[in-house]
Amino acid sequence: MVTAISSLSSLCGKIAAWLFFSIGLIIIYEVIARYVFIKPTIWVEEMSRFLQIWATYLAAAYALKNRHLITIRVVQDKLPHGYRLITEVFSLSVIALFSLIAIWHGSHTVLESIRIGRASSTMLSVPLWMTEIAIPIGFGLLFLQVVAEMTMLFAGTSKEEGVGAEK
Amino acid sequence: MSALLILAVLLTLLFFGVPVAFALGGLGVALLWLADIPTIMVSQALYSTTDSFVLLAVPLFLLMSNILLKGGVGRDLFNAVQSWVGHWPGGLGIATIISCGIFSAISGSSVATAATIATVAIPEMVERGYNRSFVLGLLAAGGTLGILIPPSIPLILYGVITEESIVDLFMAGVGPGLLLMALFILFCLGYARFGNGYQPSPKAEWKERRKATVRALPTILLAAIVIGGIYIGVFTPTESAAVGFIVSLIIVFSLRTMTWKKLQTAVMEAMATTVTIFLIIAGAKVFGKAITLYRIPQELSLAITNNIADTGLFILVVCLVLLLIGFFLESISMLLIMVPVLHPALRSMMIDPIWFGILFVVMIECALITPPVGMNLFVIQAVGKVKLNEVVRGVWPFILIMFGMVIAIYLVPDIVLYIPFKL
Repeated sequence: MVTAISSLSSLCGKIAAWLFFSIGLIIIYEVIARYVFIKPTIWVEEMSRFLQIWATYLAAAYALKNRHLITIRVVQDKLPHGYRLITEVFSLSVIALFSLIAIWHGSHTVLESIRIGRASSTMLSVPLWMTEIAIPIGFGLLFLQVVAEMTMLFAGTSKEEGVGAEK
Repeated sequence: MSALLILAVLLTLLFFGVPVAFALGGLGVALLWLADIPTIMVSQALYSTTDSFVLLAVPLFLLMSNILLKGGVGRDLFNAVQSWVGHWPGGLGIATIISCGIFSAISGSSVATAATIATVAIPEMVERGYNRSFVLGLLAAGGTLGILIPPSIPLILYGVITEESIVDLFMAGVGPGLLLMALFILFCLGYARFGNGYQPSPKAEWKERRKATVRALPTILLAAIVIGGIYIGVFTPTESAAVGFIVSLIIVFSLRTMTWKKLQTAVMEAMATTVTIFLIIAGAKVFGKAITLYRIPQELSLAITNNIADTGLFILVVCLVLLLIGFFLESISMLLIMVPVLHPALRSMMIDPIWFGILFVVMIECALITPPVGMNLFVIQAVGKVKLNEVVRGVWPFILIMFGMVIAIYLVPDIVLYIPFKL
């Protein structure tokens, strides 16, 4: 189970990375459309924000898994092993709790948007739930990754200490 | 009182090893809950954080500098600059600073700048007998130019938080960036004259110069397009980042220094950095909403204006606080925690927010090279494979130079404001 979750997080991280890459490409398309064809698009600005929301939250679990989250470790590194374990469980619990809240409210927002048919106030008028759903899904993945990290921590198979990197 | 309590809880969470994004977000949620305010605004805050076209400049600038970095542009750049100034007194030091300055114009991150130039410059300088601590300190400090000279990720974030023009902020960074470069170069000249010996590099042949320069030229032109395009107003910062991203791809593929594998790494690293920054912004947004509902920034700003009448004193206090926080906090967190708190006080103190943004970034540069937590120290330590102490020993003269810089922009605000507003 732990490996399955970790591979899922890695996969989503890869998707997110190439989403950011694609955003670069479509913005270039807009620049060319504006200056070369003198015909600005109506979809690039909105689509790029749309993709950015997805990319960011899809990759949250990947960031936790690969220890990219920024953490202050001056104090932690000086603690004896037992205490350090406690702080790690505590940190993971904070992330889990926050994720649950984000999933809860995030799904409410999505359901509400579907119910009343909310759409973006642009010419494209994209249904809002299509982007809003990125939040419960992203934090759902993050929550799963927390569960995986907890399991590895208690099984003693966690490869690194701490839940983040000092970046 | 509540402000102090909240700060204490926040610091405890951070020191307990809770990732910054979730310490801020978690505390924000707890505060909302305690005040009986519906926490539904959490999902709105998360959504609106990334629903921003301006912020897109962050991943795109990161993609651009990562692609160039993986394409080995750092070496080309250093070689080209060195072929021109290498034989001057302290020449390799000067070449290092100029290379850092040019790389800063294509990178918005200090860590990337330090790492890129250090990989090439440290071995070269140590081989020529430069004092090791001096070399390490020089690179740690030179790298910090990355966030002062546009593009700059901290300046983008500052612009997003305070709703100031990113173009103005970028242009405001140019003057201080060049001045800081000049000060570092002067220090290198002084080192060459009074420090203990090193072996001067031979003067490069014209043929060698031409060859090295031609190779580095695309990168230098790219920097000109990116910054020039924003300045003239042809591109928004986000578009300019996208143009830079595409052109950097073209450069590294035509120089044949890029492989599919390297490209994958560059894209993955850009994503990882982006996401960690965005998660902190999201956490800070939740936290910011909560403390605004507790009226903390407003009361703090009132307390400041009631007790500190003098602008100079205010700036001094802010700098001391930032210096203190900078010992422990990493730069993005420092910015996202402190700017929302300080911003309301600026208007009543009659301080120009663009000028303050630059001052803030110079203080972040100090934070990057002050122990125990200074990202550039860690990077240089890792690249140079040395003890942290050795880097710290070399870096303190540069910290003093940066203090001098803060005083200079306080006394002569036009160093900052001339280019964006009076040119």
